[in-house]
Amino acid sequence: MISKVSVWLVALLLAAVGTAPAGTLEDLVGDLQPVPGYVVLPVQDEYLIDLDATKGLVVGDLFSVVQVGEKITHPVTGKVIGTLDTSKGVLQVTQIKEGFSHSKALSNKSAIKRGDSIRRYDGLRTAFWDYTGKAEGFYSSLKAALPALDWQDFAAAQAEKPANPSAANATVADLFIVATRDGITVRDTTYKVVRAYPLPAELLPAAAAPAAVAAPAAPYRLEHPAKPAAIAQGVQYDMTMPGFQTPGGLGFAAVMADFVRTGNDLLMAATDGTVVKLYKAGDKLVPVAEFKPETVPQILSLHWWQPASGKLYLAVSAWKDTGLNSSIYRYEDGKFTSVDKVLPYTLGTFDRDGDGSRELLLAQNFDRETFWGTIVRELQLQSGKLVTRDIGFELPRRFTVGGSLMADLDGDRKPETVFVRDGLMYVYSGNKQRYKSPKMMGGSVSRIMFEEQPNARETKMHFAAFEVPPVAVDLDNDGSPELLSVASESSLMSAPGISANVSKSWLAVVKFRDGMFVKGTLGEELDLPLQGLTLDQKRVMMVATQAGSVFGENGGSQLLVFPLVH
Amino acid sequence: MKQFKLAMAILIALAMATPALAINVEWHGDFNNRFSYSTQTDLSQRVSNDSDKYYGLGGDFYTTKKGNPIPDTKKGSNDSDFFGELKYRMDMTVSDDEKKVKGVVGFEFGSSKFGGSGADFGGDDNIFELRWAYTDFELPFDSSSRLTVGLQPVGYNALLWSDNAGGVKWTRKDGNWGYSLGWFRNDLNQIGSGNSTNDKNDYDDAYAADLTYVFDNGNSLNAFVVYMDQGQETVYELGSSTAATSNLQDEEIWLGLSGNGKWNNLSAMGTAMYLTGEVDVDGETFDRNAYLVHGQLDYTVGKNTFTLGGLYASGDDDPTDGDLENFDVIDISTSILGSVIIFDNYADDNSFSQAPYVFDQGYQLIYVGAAHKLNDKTKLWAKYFWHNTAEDTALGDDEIGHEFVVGASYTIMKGLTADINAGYLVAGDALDAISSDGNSDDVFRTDARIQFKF
Repeated sequence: MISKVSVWLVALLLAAVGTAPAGTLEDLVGDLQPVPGYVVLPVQDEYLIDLDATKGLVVGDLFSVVQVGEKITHPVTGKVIGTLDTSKGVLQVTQIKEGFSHSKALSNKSAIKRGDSIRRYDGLRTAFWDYTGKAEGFYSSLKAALPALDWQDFAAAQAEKPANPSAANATVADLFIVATRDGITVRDTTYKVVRAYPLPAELLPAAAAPAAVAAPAAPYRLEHPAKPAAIAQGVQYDMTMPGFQTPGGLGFAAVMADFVRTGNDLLMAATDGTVVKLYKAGDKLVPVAEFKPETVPQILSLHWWQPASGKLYLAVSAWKDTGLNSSIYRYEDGKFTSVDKVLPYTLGTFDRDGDGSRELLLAQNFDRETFWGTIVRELQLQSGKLVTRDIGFELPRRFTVGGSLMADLDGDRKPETVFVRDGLMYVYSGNKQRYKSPKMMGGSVSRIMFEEQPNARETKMHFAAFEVPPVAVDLDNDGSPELLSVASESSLMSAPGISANVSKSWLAVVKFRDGMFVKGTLGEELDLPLQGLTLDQKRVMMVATQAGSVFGENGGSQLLVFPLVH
Repeated sequence: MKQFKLAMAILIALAMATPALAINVEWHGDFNNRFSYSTQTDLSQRVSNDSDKYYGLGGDFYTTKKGNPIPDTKKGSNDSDFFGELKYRMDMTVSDDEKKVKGVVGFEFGSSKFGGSGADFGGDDNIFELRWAYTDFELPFDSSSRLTVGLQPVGYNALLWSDNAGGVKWTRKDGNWGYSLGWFRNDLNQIGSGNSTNDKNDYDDAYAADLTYVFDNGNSLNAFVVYMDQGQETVYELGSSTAATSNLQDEEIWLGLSGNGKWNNLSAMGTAMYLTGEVDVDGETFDRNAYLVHGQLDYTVGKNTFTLGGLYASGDDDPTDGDLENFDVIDISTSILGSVIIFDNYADDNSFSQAPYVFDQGYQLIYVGAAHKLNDKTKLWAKYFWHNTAEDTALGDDEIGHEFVVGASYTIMKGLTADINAGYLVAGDALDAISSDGNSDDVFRTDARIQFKF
């Protein structure tokens, strides 16, 4: 009922204002309509709720958990005309399945129980931050159309908002609606984008007028070391080498490395194809542990997996003889322990809910022609055993679990699928291709040659490269992540069984802007392949590998660190 | 000079434009140098060929192989010998960025024995062979389908047909399912397929289909059927170069099921095939009715793998009964079995039998083995084989012998391996039948290779 009234109200408001934008306000009001439901089941740290995408839910949506209050009785008729409900907690949707969704408690966790009534975008403390200087009218329309929200006064909200759009002061409300010259975003308590909309025409800055609002924070750039001072009897020279710091060497030529932050430590697992070594990557690179898989396979890729809080696993994709020989290892107290059986899949881990930890482990079947099969399943741990589950989302046919990630890049709160294959980077929303890069993405020395039919007299030879997964980071501080990816240059002709054919590497940045993906670069070129990449505490960290001779001599890898500065 | 400058300018422009071209060129190679020493090099020649046919018809024995293929299993004074040989293969794949279209050309130099054509003093011999020339592309209206047209590798079970052939093959993959349909043409008698002076009986047509299901755990099942109309063939009595008849027509249908599976440390592979059809010789017809079964189990414990396997190919127990009960393959390699002396080894063109049978006598084989991965570069193994023919009508006995094999592989660098193995065959009574004095000798053979694959 509220929904219909609200929509009519918006329509009337639009008719009255005349110049008001039709799309954004209508979309916003439609997307923030209260939707009732129930808490079905508490599961570990989460709560299952009885709503799914058919009710318009997206990951990130917020729900009030209703505390039923005193009945309101009519003084004349004696009928109960309502209740004085309050909110006893807030839930946020983390994962949407068919028929139900996962959610996590943002507040008052202990009070939330099975059977509790919940309402989406109802009773939430809501602040409207206007960085356009023109959005007060828009605010009024929105407030009138969404009476279920607990709106903060417009003027008070502007007084409290930070000078630049950021998470500062984000504790003053449960929900933020932020208008900047880039658009309107709905953000959660932690200032993460839940939904995004284009800026209505009336709020766009005048073409000739200088911007009256505070500019967003300056984008990051790589910090270069100071030029060396001239010394007596010497000459001053300009350092043209890339300005990276080197916390240390890995002691071998790494073909793949992956990073994870646990508490105060940044851990890096790396492999040269036969052994896995673990380091703490701080100011110095400190070896912590190492192991060699019992079956002596060729290790192709490593992915940290965090299925539950406090538990850390390493997914190792490997090859032996004529097939995949992958394994999962539990990391605990400085030791790796094999979990369950050897797996005939390629493995990859993903952070679909955007909370910073990769909770989803995907397994992809081996195709004897293309290597990357079209069957992708989720692997879960149940009583120490790995079981496969169907995934509840669509993946493109060319998807690879290696060299890929999932992240919300366009602010619609639905994660895009990003993968690098055959030198191309793809961005997909479900099965819809949103972006395909020019052929210069990736460039990895981790690769495998295999025969299509190992026992056949005549058979084709194929190869597959395991690319370093891109990372999603908000480099320019605009609230939306960019993609940071290894890119490289290679020649037209290749003999992939002999060489990875990487003549130089660099970091490419792909950003969603003005409704499209655009590509740029970050930093300078290196003449080495890059086999690991992360961004941690304003530092870009990469593993650069010198392959050495064909006999494996004199190879080595260095961890390179580029601090980022504004 | 102007032309040279112009050509250079075009080359430079093309090189500069490379990143924008949606084309990739990929080279693969298999450079194989192999050596073999045997106490009886007679057994390094092919006695039974995969592509030859063997018929027991009305009490007579015929084959499509011309001349005498039978070695003397009695050791002579000059039988101990050594050879070196090269077989170099390369293929080039040209594709678009997403590999939706691939053009492939593959060729081979060799096999050439050191001192023989192509590898003698001065070289300069014509030893070029075309292996592949095909175009493989994704169908524009169905991204799950591909069509391969041209001279291409054909893979319908490693023990039936895993060689090259000219034809057209459609393949489709849909989730766990994969299937294909193919048509291929051969010309066993080399008359010349498609020549206007020939009729359709002069060449052979094969129609094949298969269906594969891949389980979630990676295990797979494959069912296949191949129908081959062999056309008109010329056959000879064994050892003769004079044609017995040129009016033999062979129709064969293979029905097969194969599977691969892995359960924890245990892996298994198996194939079962049934062959039916009929052979028409000068108006008289003979029914084909044969089968082959092969199975192998591998059990891995840490760095060790233990193997148990067996193969049975039926043979013709009575050449006078009007039935052909001997199994027949199309084009395969027997190197899968790991024998050094009887089947394909490192020097794969120099084996006693390139088919899983001897003439029309079928085969029975049991083998056990153990392999140990010493480190990430070195592997050692040992195997034992008990070789028998399935029937004893031709050789008087069915026991070929007991073979003991040891071997080692070392990876010198990525793609470059050195392998050596050695086998000793305790000759059985069946080999006595092809001995000059009715008493065959034991055989020792060792093969080694330096192989560069990329």
